[in-house]
Amino acid sequence: MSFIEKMLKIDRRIIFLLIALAVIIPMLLNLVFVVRPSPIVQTIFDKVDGLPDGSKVLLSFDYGPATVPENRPMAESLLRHCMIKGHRTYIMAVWATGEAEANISIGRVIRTEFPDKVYGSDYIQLGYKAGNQGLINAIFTDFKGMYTTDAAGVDINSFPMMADVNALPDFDLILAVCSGKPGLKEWVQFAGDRGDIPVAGGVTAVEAPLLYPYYPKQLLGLMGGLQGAAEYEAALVNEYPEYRASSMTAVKLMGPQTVAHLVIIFFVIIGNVAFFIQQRREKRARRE
Amino acid sequence: MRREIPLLITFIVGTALVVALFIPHHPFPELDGEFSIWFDIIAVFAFILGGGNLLKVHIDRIQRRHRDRFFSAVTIVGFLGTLIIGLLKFGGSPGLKGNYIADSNAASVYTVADIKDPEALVRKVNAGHDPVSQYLKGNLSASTLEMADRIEGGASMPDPARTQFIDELAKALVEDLNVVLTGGSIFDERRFAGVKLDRETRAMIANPGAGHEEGIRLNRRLLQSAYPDEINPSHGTTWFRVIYNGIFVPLGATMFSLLAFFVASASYRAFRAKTREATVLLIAAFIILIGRTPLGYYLTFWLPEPLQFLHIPNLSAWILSAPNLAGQRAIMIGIALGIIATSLKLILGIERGYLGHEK
Repeated sequence: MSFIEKMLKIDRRIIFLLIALAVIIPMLLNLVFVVRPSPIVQTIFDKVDGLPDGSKVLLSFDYGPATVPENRPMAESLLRHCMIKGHRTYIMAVWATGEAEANISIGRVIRTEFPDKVYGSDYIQLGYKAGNQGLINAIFTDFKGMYTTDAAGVDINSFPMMADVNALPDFDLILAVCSGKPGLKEWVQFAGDRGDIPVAGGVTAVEAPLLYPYYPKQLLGLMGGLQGAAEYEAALVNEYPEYRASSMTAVKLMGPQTVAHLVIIFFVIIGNVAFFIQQRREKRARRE
Repeated sequence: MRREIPLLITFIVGTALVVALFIPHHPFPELDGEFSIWFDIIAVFAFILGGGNLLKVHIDRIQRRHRDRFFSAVTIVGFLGTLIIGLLKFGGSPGLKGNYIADSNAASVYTVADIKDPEALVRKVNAGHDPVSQYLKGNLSASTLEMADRIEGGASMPDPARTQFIDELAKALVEDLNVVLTGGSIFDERRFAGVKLDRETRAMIANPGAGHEEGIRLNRRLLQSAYPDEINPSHGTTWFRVIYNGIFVPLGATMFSLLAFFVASASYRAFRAKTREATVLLIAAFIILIGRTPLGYYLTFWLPEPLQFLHIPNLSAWILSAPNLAGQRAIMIGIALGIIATSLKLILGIERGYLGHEK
């Protein structure tokens, strides 16, 4: 087998090994790049930052453990930002796995960094309800009809922050962190458009291109994949440097992702160069 | 009738919802929300049907001694195990109604469910017979102390009012105790001299963690030791959480992580510039791959202002917001037209596949 043929048929185990090394080595070396927020992410930050203290923000955790590396940094940055700004934060989930993810983030962000925040006054965990986009549609007109209790089963009317919430249009901003359907698209279609409520959020990198048709008129801003999460963290750290220690999860993960992207590009180039050389040789052989 | 009634329901509901969009007067605007709640109720039943169907398919596979029957057995055990443990809420705080508090990975502050006997607790603290109670009394708010005095004064109340009073007392205690929990270590050798501390709490005192969470955990253990009959012990976590963290999370992460390897391998094999279109796609992919990392910035940040449109992050943003957007819009409009056509066929009873096959 010639060198060119070898280049065209690289064993997939070699590719797997190099991808593994591309992720592991930057992690061990703690390779961190400087990330700059792009306009599509900065608009979300500016909106959350610009809302007056005590604004009502709905934060929906619509993802599961599979996409935690991409989605959790987004969700936690948004949650942290809401807490910093003193927004009343209503946490819910349209995905069954979202409730558990929200609990983890509440523990990691609110209880750890903001222990003075009072449950029921500053934030509330409403949990998961079945119904997908049907749930969004239902809470649009009657929030307490669907959420009669919080996630722990306590009467919803016993919480001070629920006193002036009856329907989705009562919220000042809807934030959703999603990894599929129902997700940000459904929040735009069934809540944002219908009630003229600002909607923004984050999705996995694979899903981000599908949401560009909604930006910027129907979707205020969009965090796409790990890069989007890192950009939000960068925006947060730029404005609130005291939260640097806890707000660098995605930024740190961008090192391995960058090197992994380079390895993929390297293999695609190798494959194409070998392909062209082989084609030229075959043409020459045919002519001869 | 088995076919006519569902067809009639579909026709009425479909027509009503379309009409509701155009009539902003009662009862039409409420119809959408009302039907959505019905849909949500049906969605809950769909879970039961889904679970039943899963069991049926996999039990059938085991009975037929299918070659994948062992995977089916694992599926059934996993499904039933998670269902039973989740429903019965093994582990966690005894007063737990949902899985909110016990599911958290972080140290948790008190909720009302953690206070076993608010009345007894406030009596003990208010009496201040021991150093811990004296300390806590000094940290209770004026309104909680007022409530404690009402109890001490033997204020008699009819039952509904009394229950409400105790609920309010529990909430007030939780608020005050959480300030104590989160306000740094409450341990003092003399203060806790008369309290029997277990080995784990003593170990935590000997080696206090540096973090805020460790401090909350230690304070909870200390208060629970001082008031074992009045405060519920913190059980840490539920078994459901153990399953979620120990099995579901790693499996989900593994499946998604494997994609990185397969994407790399598939890109190498399939991404060949065989045609002009494929070449354009390949170049766009390179720009997006680099543009979605900080590397894109480092490579072309030096470009002068007139050439900034060639800056890789700008090119990447343009690809996403121009050619990608146009393609996505075309697809979305096509899908929307398809949905309208299918919906009309369903409403008018032309499409009847959802009714199942006639026997």
